[in-house]
Amino acid sequence: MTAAPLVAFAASPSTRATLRIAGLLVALGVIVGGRWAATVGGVGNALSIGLAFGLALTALAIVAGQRVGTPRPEALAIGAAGGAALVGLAVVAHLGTPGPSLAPAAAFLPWASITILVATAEELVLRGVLFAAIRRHAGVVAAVAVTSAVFALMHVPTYGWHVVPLDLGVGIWLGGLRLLGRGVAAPVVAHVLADLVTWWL
Amino acid sequence: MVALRSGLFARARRHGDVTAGMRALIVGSIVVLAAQLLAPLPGPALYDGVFPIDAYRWLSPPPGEHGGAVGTSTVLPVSGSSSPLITLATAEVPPQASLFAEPGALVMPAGTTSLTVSITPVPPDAQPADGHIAGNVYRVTITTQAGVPVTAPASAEVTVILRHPDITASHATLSLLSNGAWQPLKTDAALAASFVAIVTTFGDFALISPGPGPSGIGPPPSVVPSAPATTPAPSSTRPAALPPAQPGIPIVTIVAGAATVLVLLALLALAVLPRRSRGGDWTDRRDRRGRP
Repeated sequence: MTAAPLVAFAASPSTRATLRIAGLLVALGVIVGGRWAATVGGVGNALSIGLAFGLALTALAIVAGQRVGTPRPEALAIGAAGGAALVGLAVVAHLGTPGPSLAPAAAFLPWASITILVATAEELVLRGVLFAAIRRHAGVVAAVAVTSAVFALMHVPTYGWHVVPLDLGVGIWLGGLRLLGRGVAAPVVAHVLADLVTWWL
Repeated sequence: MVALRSGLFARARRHGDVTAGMRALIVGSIVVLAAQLLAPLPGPALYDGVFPIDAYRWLSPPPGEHGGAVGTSTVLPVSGSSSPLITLATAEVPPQASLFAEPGALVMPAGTTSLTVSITPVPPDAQPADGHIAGNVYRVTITTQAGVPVTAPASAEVTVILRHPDITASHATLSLLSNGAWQPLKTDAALAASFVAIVTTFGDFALISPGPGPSGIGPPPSVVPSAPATTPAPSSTRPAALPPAQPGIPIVTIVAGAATVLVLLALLALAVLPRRSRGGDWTDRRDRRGRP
């Protein structure tokens, strides 16, 4: 009995890629779970928890190798257009269903800062490192599908199951922007825009 | 030669990305539209978890839960015979109780010059015959300057939204206390464990969940402290930020804990995973490499 087969198995690119994807998902689960636990437990105020959540996701993205450089102008334009489309859908949906504003009860600047941080961090992890890892391992369709599913599921602890269809669709949309923009900048811009607009809706 | 092959590969890949990206946008649009049509969410579509959520604040907190439930009120001027837009919500994030009425939605007596709108957490005057009250009972009132209550036709779609204390709750019935009994209203689920119903009269509203309440949740009415609800917030249609109502673990501890977990994960990743496989960038690497 030798350890050689086990070592060979562990050293194979496929195994390492799978481990990498699994590691990212576990880390993401820990962070999302931690946020949920902090929220349910009333630990700190809501913005503080959001800040910690955003920082943790950003740290995960950096640790996983996500690099941040100057985005290409065309990617920013694609992101802006994609974000505008999401905003348009939100506006139409809001017109069709009566309800109070969901604008959070907080000062705008702190809220906007944390919104930008969290949206960016989510994209760096999902459409950044996780997307790239799955794409290398299983192709672009799997990358879009898995990151969209994760995007939808990671919001269940916060918003419940009934938001899964919407978030799944938005996740696919952001995956499309990721491909069209050839990088994570486009979905970051779209995501940030869509989230910031909720202040005025 | 290598550069040429690399460039051709990048171009083909780019073309494939555009095709796949367009397909993803089409599929994503269809899913989003279907979700909005088949299961519309009250209020604006909320795409992700940026929206922070406060812990539920009880008027009479069960053991281990948080107190500090607050009310809110506002006085709105009335010009002419049409009622103004009403958007009032308690100060939690998201609000534990909200009221929304379009302009002209309310039936007011002639001569109304102002409306006083209030949402106040109150002890329950009665328990439901079936199920249990989930969270606080909120007294929603809209009165004229003379103290006369107003009503709303169903077609006006005046809505009351209450948040469930269980953030994962997906089923509850928004009910109105009428003649000592809880009357269920047609209820739809909204975001963040909130539930919405169209109302025509105002009074005490609560969420009723099926089955007995969790152990320790909600003392019976006879022992509910009769302390008055928290003083309503100053008049405003945008509630003030909610101050921390309870001592908790300092944020530094949270950040430090999260950082510790991440460092451990980073060490694990660096130890196990090949450096070459790490990466991702604002721009895909192969695309950059393939550029002339």
